Amino acid sequence: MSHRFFPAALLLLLGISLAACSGPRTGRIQGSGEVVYEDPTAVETVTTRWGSTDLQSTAETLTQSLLASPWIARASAPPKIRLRSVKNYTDEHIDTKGITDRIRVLLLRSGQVRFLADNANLDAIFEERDLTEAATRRQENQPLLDTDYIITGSVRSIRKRTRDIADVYYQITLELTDPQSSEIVWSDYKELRKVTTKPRIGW
Amino acid sequence: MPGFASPAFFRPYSSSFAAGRCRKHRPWVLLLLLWGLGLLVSCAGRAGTAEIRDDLSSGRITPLRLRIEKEFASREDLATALNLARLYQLEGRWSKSRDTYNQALEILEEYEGRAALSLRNLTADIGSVLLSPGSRGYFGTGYERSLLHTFNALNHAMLRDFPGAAVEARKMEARQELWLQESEARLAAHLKRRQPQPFTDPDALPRHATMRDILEQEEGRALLNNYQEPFSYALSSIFNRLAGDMDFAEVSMRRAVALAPQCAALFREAWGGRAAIPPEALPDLPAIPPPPGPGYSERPSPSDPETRQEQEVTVILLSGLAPALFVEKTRLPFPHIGYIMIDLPAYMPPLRCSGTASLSVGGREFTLYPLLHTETLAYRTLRDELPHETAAAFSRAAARAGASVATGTLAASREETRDMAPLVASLTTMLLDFFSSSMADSVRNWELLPNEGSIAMGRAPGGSLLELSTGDGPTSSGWLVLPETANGVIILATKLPNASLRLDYVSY
Repeated sequence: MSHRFFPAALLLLLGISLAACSGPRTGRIQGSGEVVYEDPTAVETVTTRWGSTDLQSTAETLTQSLLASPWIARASAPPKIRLRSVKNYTDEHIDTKGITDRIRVLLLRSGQVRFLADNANLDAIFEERDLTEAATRRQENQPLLDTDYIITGSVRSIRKRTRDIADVYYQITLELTDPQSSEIVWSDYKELRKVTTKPRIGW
Repeated sequence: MPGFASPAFFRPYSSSFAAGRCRKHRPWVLLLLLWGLGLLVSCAGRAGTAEIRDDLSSGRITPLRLRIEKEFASREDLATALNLARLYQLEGRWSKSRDTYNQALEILEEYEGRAALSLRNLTADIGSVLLSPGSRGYFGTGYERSLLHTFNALNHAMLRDFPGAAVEARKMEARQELWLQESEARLAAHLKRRQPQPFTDPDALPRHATMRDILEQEEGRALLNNYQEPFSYALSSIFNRLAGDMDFAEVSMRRAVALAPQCAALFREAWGGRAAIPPEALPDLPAIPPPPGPGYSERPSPSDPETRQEQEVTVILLSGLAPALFVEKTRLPFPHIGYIMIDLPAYMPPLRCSGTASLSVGGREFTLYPLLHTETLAYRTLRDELPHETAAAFSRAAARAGASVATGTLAASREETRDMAPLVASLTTMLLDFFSSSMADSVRNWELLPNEGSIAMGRAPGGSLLELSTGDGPTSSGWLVLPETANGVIILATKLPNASLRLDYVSY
C-alpha cells in the first residue's frame, strides 16, 4: 500500500515545488505563449532575406574601414560629418535607416568624428528654431549646414533561383565625399552571400 | 429490390452491424464523416462570386470587406488574402492593404519554399487527380503572382513611399524573369520550327538574345505565356524614376514599350515632349528626366514658380472585375453507377466597364492607354492549362467511377447485399460527387482583380481641374483639383460597373 502512495506523493511534492518556484517572487510576468530572450548578436539564418546579422556585420566592417581611412584617422580635429541616405536598390524592403543609425552610433562611440543632424532631424531642428524665429536669425543656422564630409551609400542585390536553390548576394557600398570639392575621399563595400537549398523531402 | 421504407432495405446493414462486422471500420467511417463535415463547414459561409459582384456594384464594400475579413481569419488562403487586400485598396486603406498583400506573399512564399518532394503537395496532387480539383489549394496563376507586387506597389506609392513602390516593382520584374526562363525552352522550340528572322540560329536564342529581342518577336510575344503585361512595367518605370533609380526605370520603360508599342507615346507625352511618335521610331525613346524638384522627401518650395506652375500628372485607372474561376461540372449518364461527373475549371466572364474613358486636366486632353487586360491573361492561362486539366478531369471521373463500380461489385459478391448492388454503386457515386463538388465549389481565384488598367501621363499647371469620365453611366464621372505647389501628383481612379468612380491622389 505504501509503495502505491509513494510515487504519487513524490509527484505532488515536485508539483508544489515547481509551483512555488514560478511565483511572483522572480518579478517575471509571463503570458501563455513561450517567450525567451536570445543573444541579439547571435547569427540569424531564418531566411535568405536581409536580417540582423547582415545589419550588424555591415555596420561593423564599414565603420572600421572608415575610421582607418587617413581622412578620419589623421585629421587634426574630428571632422564634421552628415549621414545622407543609403539607397535601397534591392528587391527587398530594407530599412536602410537602420544601417545608417548603427554606423553613426559606432562612429560617435569612436570619438573620431562629429556628426551633424541628417535630413529628418534637420527638419525637426528647423521647426524648433522657427518657433523662436524672433530670437534667432537665419544665418545662425549656417553652422548646422557646414559639413566637412557627407556619407552616402547604396544596397544592391543579385538574386538567383532555381527549383532547388535560392542564392542572394548583397553589396553595401558607402562613400565619404567632400561636399565642397565633390571629391570622393573614401569608399568601401561589404559583400554578403546567402544560399538556401530546398529539402528533397518534407511536409 | 426492397423499397427505402421497407424493413428489408435496412436488414443487411442492421444484421451486419449486429454481427459486429463493420465495428472495426467505425473509426474510419467517423473520421470520414468528420472530414466531410469540416469540409462543408469550411466551404459554407464563403461569399459567392455573384454575391461579391452584387455587393461591389451596389457600393456595399465595407460589409463585404467585414465578411471576407472573417473568412480570412478562419482560413488563410491566397485567394481570400488577395481579395481582402484589394478591398482595403478600394476603401483607400493603403497600409492595411499593403500588410494584407504581404500576408498573401507569405502564403505564396511558404508554398514556393516547400520541399522538392512535399508530402502536402503530393497528397494534394493525388487528390486533384483522383477526387476533386479543389484538393489542390489555390496558389495563384503566374499573372496573379506578378500583379500582387504591382498592386502592392500602388499602396506604397499612395503612401508616398516611392522607394517601397520601386522595391515591389523590382519583385514583380524578378517574377516576370522567372516566367521568362520557364518559357525560354518552349520559345526556342517554336522559333526553331518556324525559322523566323532575324534569329538564324534558334538554338542559340536563349544564350544570345536579349529579353527585348525575344519580346519584339511578334510570334514569340504571342506564344510567350509568361504573364508579362506592359501595365506593370510602365508603373515600374514610373515608380523607379520617382525612387531615383533611373537605370531600372529605363529598363522597365523599354520592356513596357517592347510589350505594347503605344507605351512609347505614353512616355513621350510625359517625359519627352508632346510629339506623337511613329511606330517605326520605337527605339527612339525619351531620355528619362530625373524626378522633379529637390526630391519627394523634401518640402517643395512654394517660392519656386516652376514647381508652382507645372506639375507632373499621372492617372492610373483601374476598372471592371477579372474573370472569376469556378469548376464547371458536367454529369453524363453511365451504366451501373448512374452517371459520371466531368469537372473542369472555367471562368465566369469578367465585368467590364462599357464606356470610353476620357480625361482632361486644366482643359488639356490626356490619353488613357489601356495596358492591362486581365481577361486576356486569364483565358490564355486557361488555354495553356486545358490539356493538363482535361486529362486530370477524366482521371478524376474514371477514379470516381472505378470506386463506385468497385463498391457495386463488392456488394454484388455478397449474398446479403447482392440485390442492392446497383443502389450501393449509385449511392457511392452520389457520395463521391457530393464530396468532390463541395471541394470544387471552394475553388476561388483573385476575383477582385480589376479587368482593365490604363495609364495617362502629362503635365498640367498646379491647381488645375482634373475631370475623368469612364462613360458608362451617370455615376461614371469624377473630378478633383490638383494641389497648388506639388512637383507631381499620382491619381488612382477606380471604377466598378454600376458603382461610382473613386478618385484618390498623392502628391510629391
